[in-house]
Amino acid sequence: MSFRTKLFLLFLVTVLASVSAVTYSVTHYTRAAYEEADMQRTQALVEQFQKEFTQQRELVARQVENVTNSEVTLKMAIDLERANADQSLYVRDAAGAAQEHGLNFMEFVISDGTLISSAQYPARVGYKETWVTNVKDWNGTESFLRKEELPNESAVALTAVRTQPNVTRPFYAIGGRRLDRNFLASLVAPAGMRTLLYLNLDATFVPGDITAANGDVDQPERFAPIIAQIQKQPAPLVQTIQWTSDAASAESFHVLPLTGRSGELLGALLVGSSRSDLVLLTRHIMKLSAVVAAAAILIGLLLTWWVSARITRPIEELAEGAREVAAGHWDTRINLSGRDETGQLASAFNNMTQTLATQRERLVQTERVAAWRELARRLAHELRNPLFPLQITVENMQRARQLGPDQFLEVFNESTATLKAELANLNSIVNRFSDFSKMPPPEFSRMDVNEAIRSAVRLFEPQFHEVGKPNIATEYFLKENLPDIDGDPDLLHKAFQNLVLNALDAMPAGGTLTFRTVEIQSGIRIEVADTGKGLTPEECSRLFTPYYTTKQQGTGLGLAIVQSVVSDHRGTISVASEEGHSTTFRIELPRRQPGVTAKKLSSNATTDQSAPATPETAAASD
Amino acid sequence: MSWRAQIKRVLCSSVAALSFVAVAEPAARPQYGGVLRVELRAASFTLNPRRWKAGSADYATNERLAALVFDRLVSLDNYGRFQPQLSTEWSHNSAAKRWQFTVRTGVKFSDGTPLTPADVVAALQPILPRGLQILATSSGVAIQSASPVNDLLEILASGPYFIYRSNGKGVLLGTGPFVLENTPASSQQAEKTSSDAGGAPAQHVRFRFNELCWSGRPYLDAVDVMLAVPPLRALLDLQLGKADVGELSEDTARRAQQSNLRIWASSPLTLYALKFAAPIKSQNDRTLREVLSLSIDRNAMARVLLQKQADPAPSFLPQWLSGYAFLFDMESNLERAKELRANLPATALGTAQPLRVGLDAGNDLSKLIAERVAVNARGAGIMLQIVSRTTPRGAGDGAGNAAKLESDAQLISWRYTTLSSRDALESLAAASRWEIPEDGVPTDADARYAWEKRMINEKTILPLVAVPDFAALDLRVRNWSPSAWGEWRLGDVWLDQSEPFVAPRDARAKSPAGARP
Amino acid sequence: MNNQLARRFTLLAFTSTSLFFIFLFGAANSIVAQPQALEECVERLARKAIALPHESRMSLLWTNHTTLSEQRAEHLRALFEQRLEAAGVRFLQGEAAPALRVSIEQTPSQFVFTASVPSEGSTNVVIEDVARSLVGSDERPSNAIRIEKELLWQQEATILSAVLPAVSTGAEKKMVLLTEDALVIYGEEQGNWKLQATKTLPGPKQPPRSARGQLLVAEENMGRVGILLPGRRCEANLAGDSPIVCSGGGSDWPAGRLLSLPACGAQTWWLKSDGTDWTAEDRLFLRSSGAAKESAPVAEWNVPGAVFSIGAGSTAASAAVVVRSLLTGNYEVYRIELACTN
Repeated sequence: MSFRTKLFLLFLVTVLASVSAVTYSVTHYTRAAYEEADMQRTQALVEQFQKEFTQQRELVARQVENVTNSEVTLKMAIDLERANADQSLYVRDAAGAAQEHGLNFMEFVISDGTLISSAQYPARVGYKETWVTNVKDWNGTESFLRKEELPNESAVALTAVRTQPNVTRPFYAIGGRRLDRNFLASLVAPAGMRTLLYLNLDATFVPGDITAANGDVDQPERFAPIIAQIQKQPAPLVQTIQWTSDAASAESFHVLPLTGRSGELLGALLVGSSRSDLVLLTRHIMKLSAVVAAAAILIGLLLTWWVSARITRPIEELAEGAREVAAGHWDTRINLSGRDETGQLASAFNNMTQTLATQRERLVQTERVAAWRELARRLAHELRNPLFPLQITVENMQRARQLGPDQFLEVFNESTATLKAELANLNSIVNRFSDFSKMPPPEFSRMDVNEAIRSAVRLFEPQFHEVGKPNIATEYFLKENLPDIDGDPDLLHKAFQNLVLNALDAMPAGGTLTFRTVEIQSGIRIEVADTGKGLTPEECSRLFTPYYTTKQQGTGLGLAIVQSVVSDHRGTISVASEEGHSTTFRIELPRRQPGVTAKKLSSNATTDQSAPATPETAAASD
Repeated sequence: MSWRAQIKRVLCSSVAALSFVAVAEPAARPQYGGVLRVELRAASFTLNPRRWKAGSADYATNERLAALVFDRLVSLDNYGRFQPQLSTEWSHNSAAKRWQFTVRTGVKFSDGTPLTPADVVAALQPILPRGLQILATSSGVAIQSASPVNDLLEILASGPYFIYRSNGKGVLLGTGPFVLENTPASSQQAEKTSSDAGGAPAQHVRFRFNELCWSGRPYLDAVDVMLAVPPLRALLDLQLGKADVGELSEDTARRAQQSNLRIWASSPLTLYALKFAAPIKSQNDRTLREVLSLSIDRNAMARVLLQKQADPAPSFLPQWLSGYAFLFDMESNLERAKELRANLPATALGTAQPLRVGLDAGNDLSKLIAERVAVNARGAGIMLQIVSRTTPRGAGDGAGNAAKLESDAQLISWRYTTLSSRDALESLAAASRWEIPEDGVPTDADARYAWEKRMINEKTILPLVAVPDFAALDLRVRNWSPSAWGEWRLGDVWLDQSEPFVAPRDARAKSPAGARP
Repeated sequence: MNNQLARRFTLLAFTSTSLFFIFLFGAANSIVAQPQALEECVERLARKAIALPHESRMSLLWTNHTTLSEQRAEHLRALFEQRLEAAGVRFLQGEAAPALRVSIEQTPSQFVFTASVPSEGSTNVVIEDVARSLVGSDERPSNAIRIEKELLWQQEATILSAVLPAVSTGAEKKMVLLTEDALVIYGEEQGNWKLQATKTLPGPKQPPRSARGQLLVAEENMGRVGILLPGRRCEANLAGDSPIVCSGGGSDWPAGRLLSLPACGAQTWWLKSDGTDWTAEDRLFLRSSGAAKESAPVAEWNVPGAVFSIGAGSTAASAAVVVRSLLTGNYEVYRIELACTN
């Protein structure tokens, strides 16, 4: 993560944390204040309802008392006390009494509980109303809520019962007023609040039984859970309903149960308080916070850019310069002015690179001279060996001229044979040097390294187990499904051969030759290890120099060729050795680039101008 | 004693006897003149018997008004005796398959044209019960049938069997004591007297006396009929002296009785029953109907709910018509109903979903009875739902919007319109689409009782209560002698047009001075 | 001689004609009846009953719900019993034996006989009918009616007349008595009559022996009564303290009271008494207002004393009757109410 990014993130975190803390605090206290106000308004409305309810109860009780004490009712009661009184005379009286006194419900019941007259349900006349007779004297009792059965429906009524006091046997008048939306109309709700009434006439929730003062209620089925809860436990509760996906549509309801004489739930008053104000306010706060945060982030960005422009850019330039130098561009220069630390750093960097370039130049020249000296020495050594027998043979042939023709012929044949052999040897030496000098450029194609290793080693199998020669054991630790690489199979084949030859040479008494391939991040690694005599550190450092060899024989080009091939494949080769135990050659080759056309890669060495240009071959895509 | 003295004595005793008779019957002498003001519930009527629908509520009005204008061949008095009307004599063969009626001679229609046997045939032929043919003879008409008709006189003395003739201009002429002076459409006094919201405007019809009536001029000069008058309004009008005869309902009759008005009630003439829409299709159907029937307390319905203004109806025909209705068991048995109810599956009608009972929304009595049935049924665990149709009351032939709602049963009212119990059963069976035997409903009382009992057990119709007709009368209405089966016989009525100070009910006859009453 | 014969013949003819016209007033239709029609019907019923499976020992329950007289009904019963006994049935008294129930009903045109015949736990029904027109006219009028009486009040002091004014629904019932010198008003409270007001009759008090008076009620005004006194008539308000106001002039005294009971039919009846003296029991009877004087009353009550007056009751079917009891000499006020027998 760059400094700029870290700085930006730091700034961002700081801003966000501050804005969040402020937003949370404001929102929390706003909500608390709103809830408090809402609670107070709800409480006021509930008290208003209770007051109204009490007034209605008293009114109903008074009205029923008036009916009971009227002369008509008294006459009826007296008449019905007689034996064999004609009850059918009074069947219609309750309707008249109800109408006269402004009641919705009115019934008259005699002492044995028989219903004499009913305003609301005349068809029930003659049936018993035993609940009334359980109490002997109803006078002075309060009105109460009761479920009233009607012909086609049920209703909840505020009911009062009174007993006619002037007759010996009880005579009951039961009157009431219907509890419905008209009752709600008497309650005045402040803005944003409303009152609903649910009449609990069924065991389960019935959407049609919930009403508002001004008409029907939208989405009544949404109240089902609230009502179910209050049916289960008739106690005040508070619940919120969100009407749409918009949180501003939420409404919280304070629910008050309305119970009858026996505590049965007959209805519920719901006081609804819209939460849209709170939600909108909260949203507003959030929006403001978001705007502030966005502004802060923008400022942060600008600040970060400015800071980084001042601090990180020079550092990046320096880093880039270092990378260039690592890539081999020794003449990299940093263009940074200023007298501050970054300017000084840039100046020091430039000095360093310049010094490095100069010293590298010197080193290259020194190594070049050393390589030429080594090549001349090796060439002299190589050529001397076949030249000496040549010289001896020519001298022998000069001496044999003195001998007879048969002897001369024998000597001549023998000498010519020797001359040919040595000339072939010379030719071979020259060819090897020539081969090294004009190694062809690689022709890349997709190839399997494991297979290349196997095929290269296969050639030497007979030698590993040759009779009379020390046994060479081979071990393979080749990773399966090794990724393919772009390589020249011939060149790599040759390289592997050289390594095998080198290993064989290092194990004259036999040993174990181990091949290992692994996948690494950048590509693959090939390891060829032997259990030979090992190399000294000095030998390790000069191993890949052309013509350097630790063997008595050999051109010293084998490992140089290997290095050249590896280099042409953009890889690296290294050696690790433990003197007296083992030596391991490690080659790392890059993985195949997808979509890259396989082509000739120009080597660092001089190219052979006479070599025919190989046509480019498309690399197989992955 | 000289003969003059003796005659004188006889004369005096005769006169004394006459005067004594006169004194003993102080108010018996009828007075001519006056207009009888009648208020009826029905909104409309038709005098054409061919358009009368058997069993309908408006039948009574049609028949009462037709009786002002038309006559029948025979009539039945209150002593059970058939009296000659347009037929002076009748006889039948031994098998009672052929009846001969001698048509009264010298009878004229109200336009002066004579009554002929052909007129009788033309009037009766289209409406005679099935299987009867009528044809004119030299002196009258003959009615014949393939099977014995022992109750032909009862049939002809009731129902739509009036004799009339069309004058070719759409007006029906009769031989009765009155003549229709105007039709409701041409009435100039279409007065709104209905106090109910949405009630039909009252219509005013006038019948004037027919001076050509063969039975003599009626006492009244005219009969003024106001139609579409609600019973409560009629009651008020009577109390205020604005009407002489008012048709009441059972609750207004009760109220009228309590306010000491003169009230007339007929025998139970309208049956209220629960009629199922479909015949019994399964055992569950049968059980449900049995439960319903056992749960209904007809006695309480009639005695308590309807304030003794109705009779419980255990059978289709009332006691006064069949004479054997008391044989039908009508006791409710709620325990037995509950036992049977327990055998019904939870998905049966009346348990999982309510049994829907349709009724005419304009009829308060139907609604009250239906609600009582629902309350009774609930006691046995059967749920009923009352659904009202929106046919307005008195719609007659289908005026107004009759919304047909799906219902499993209906509360129907059926009016008895014949004196023949066999004919009454047959018309009820035809209207209910029951299977009638090939020879018709049995004539023999045993067999008829058995057939009616079988039909009751079919439980397609559950009879509930039977309600009489009611009317309130002003005290000046005299000779009010309707039949128990609802014939008003306004032709014999006269109005007492004197104005006493007190006690019109008290006699105006002179009592000998000093004598104790 | 010829003159005498002629005179006698003339007298006879005249008398006959007169009497003919006299009886023309109250003559009822006389129809040729077939007195055997009922008996034949019962015979058929008996035959049908015998043909059904039946118990050999039964009790007979015979009910008559028609206008046939009790004597006639009994006669038919005896005939039915006879026929069944002839077929081997034994009729027993008491409830132990299964009951054979025979009921006589009537429809507008028929008498209907139904017999429910028990047999081994079940019951079979047979029905026979006969046209009413074939039956003789010993019927009572179409609807049977009876007199019900209730003693309301008694006192030693003379009561000349009593009325029970009609009251509005729910109001307390009232009873107004006319004594020799006052109008006394009572109200009913919890089943007892309580004195509410006494209004003195203006003018000189009547002599006890010849004291007479009759109370009348006004239909239009239930709060007022009229008082007929010898030679004058008065009016009084029942409520309030206003005095009785009288004026001269006689008026017709009612001979009885006209009653009606819709449930029993729409006709009216006269309620009258025989008018005996104080030493014999009187008779209160009910006669149809259209019937002749000589026709039998539809209902009657032998009063245990002399009927002093018949006044208005609170309904059209009731009257207030003042009787002087032969037993005690007290003056008793009865409420007479008509009721249907059916």
